[in-house]
Amino acid sequence: MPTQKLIMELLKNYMEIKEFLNISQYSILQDEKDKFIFQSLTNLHQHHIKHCLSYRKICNLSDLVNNQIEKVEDFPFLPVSAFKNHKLLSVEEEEVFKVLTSSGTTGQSVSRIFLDKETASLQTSALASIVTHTIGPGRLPMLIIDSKAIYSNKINFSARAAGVLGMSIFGKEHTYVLNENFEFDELTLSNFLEKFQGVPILIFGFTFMVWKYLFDTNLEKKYDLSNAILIHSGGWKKMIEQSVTNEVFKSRFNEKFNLKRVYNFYGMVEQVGSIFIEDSDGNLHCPNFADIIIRDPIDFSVQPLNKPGLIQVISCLPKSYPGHSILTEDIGILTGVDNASNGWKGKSFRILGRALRADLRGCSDTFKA
Amino acid sequence: MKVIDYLNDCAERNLESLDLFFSTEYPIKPFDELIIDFLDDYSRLILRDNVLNRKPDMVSLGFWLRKSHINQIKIENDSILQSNKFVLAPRGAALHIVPANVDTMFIYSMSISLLVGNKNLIRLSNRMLSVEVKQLIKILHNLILDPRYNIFRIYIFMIQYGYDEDINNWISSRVNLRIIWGGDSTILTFRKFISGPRTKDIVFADRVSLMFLKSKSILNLGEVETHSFIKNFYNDTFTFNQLGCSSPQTIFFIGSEEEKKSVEQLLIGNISKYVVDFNHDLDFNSIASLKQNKLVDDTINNRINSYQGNSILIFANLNSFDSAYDFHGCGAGYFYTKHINELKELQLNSSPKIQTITHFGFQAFELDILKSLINNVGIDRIVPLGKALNFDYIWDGYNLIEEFSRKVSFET
Repeated sequence: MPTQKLIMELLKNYMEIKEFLNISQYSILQDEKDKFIFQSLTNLHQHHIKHCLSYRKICNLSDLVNNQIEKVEDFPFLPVSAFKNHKLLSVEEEEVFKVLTSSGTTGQSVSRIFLDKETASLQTSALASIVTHTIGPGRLPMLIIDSKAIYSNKINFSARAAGVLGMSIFGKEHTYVLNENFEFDELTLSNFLEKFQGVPILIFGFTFMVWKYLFDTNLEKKYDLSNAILIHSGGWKKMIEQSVTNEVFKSRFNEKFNLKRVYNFYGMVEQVGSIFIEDSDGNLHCPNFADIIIRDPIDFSVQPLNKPGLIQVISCLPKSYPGHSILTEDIGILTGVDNASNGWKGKSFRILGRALRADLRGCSDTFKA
Repeated sequence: MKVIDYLNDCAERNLESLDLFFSTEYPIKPFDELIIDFLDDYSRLILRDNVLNRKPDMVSLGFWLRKSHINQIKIENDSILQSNKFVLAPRGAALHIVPANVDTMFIYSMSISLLVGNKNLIRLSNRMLSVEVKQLIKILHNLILDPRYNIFRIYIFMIQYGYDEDINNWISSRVNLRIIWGGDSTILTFRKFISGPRTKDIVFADRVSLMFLKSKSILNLGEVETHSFIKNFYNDTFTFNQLGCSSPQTIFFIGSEEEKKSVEQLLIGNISKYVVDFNHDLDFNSIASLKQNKLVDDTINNRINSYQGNSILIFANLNSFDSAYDFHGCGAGYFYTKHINELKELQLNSSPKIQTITHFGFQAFELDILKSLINNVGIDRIVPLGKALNFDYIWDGYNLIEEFSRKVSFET
């Protein structure tokens, strides 16, 4: 691991994001990190202004084309819905090699994220540098709290399938604990655990699936998962409805399975690779190459510590589409800077909820079923 | 066919059993004193009610229903009520499809129809859930229990049912009048249902409204006048989340570009304070997201080129003058804006979509210029600031008293 001094040395000169990803995660103090993010965002901002007409128009709207940008917080942000309503890309269409879509219920529009090889490969490296920091470099036997059937709908390759697939590269001997009909199969679970007794294993799934199928299921036998690392993600809405907070979630898994290493993370299809994983204080933590800013919803000024607002997510990865600075519809608070109890540097935050989609009723709104 | 009867404790009832479809007698004449007394008593109860009388739209409704105002309407319609060519008569049974966003509309629609002696079936939306709507219905229910007004039991029915083709066909084929508020898609939906050969439809299509402000007049206002200007602006634009058909979407600032910016600044400062002070029940995180999305959509679609404001109030400057009238914002304080040096330079493309022009700060000769615009196919109302949302029986170019009734030619 490079020393702090070496990092500062490196940061003085412009560093390619690829090199930057090699630096150990969470090792850079916020002040130093801001310099790199600023430099990286300046390049991305200019790149997207040059290559994405829609992005250029949006910058023009706020007079941000001609360098009035002095700080990271000065860069414009796109509301996350922009990726639903518009085709936003900064490369030639021929170079698009993968289109990611967000999950959405029928009738809802979905985000479309256009990736070229370069951005996709950066995303994979970035994700790897975060995940391996938590689980170690080796591939672990992996238990997936989902069904293989999520892949079967080829036309609508869901975010859930993409998420599972994305995490799969960190495991081996992938075992799906739900059968094709999405029913929990205890035999699969017990066989897997028997086979990998005493060996570190990785468990992955979406938060509500993990809760419903692993915790909230009547199991015939008792299992010890003290050798497991559980990584989970996804909205907390369904969980909060059942009064399950992250703290409750963790303590229940500890009580029932002696499972202590539980990590929640926050991420979105609009910034794949930039995931915010839980630190030792239960807060979500920004990796070296990504950041968050909490914004006052009225004037978008930067909120101080512990003051709720809309979460702006910043990532140095997106080059094929203008997704480096996005205003989410999630509400959160900044919980700390450079002061996590496990020594992680950078900002940490918590999600408090989601801006309810304002359902404003119009005059033409009389007879919808 | 089951429907929910709102005037009878939301009990489930058979649609076929509603008296409306049985009795063919219409014992009450247009503008009968009994109706006027009934509406007057209803008005008194609304204005006395602690839930309702603190809401400006409910107070307006209360005043509208007062005997003195109804008698005023009677005088204004003297030529059709006292004609020696014809006698005004009820049209019969009326179905009202009412908007869910304007809490008072169902009562206005019903009252005018009742005034001409029609029987009324009001289809409520299941999204009309406000405390005020419930209170209006409760008070009406109690009033009809008064023995004096018992006859109105066969005149007023408030029901709710889901999207049911059979029910809509059944009702449509039996009523004499369908009053369809709620825009183009509702109108098209109802045209598909089979109505009787003599059933008359009065439809209210999607409309867009505008505001004209004389910048200099606003900048010259004293402190007290500015306060009242802000209050009127707020009431005209923020009520119904700026999504009523009469709610202004585009503002034309008459004067220089600098004056426009100054007025916008004045409004942004004062309205933001007004909204925060009055603890207006807004979910700012959602409103912020909504407006940011709209700004991006409008920018990418080349509608706007700059903006001023915050999440409470946004003024988005239109790129060009063409077809500005068609634009509809996202509501809750999102305005398209344009400046014109002088009103006589105004070339408003004729659009049947324009409903209301709300104005402030003009002299008589300038209002004459605005008035000259009405020969186009659009524009059905020109009103001063403060009155944008006031309902009247002259609406969307119709005299509803005439539209809801029949003229029976009578010769001796």
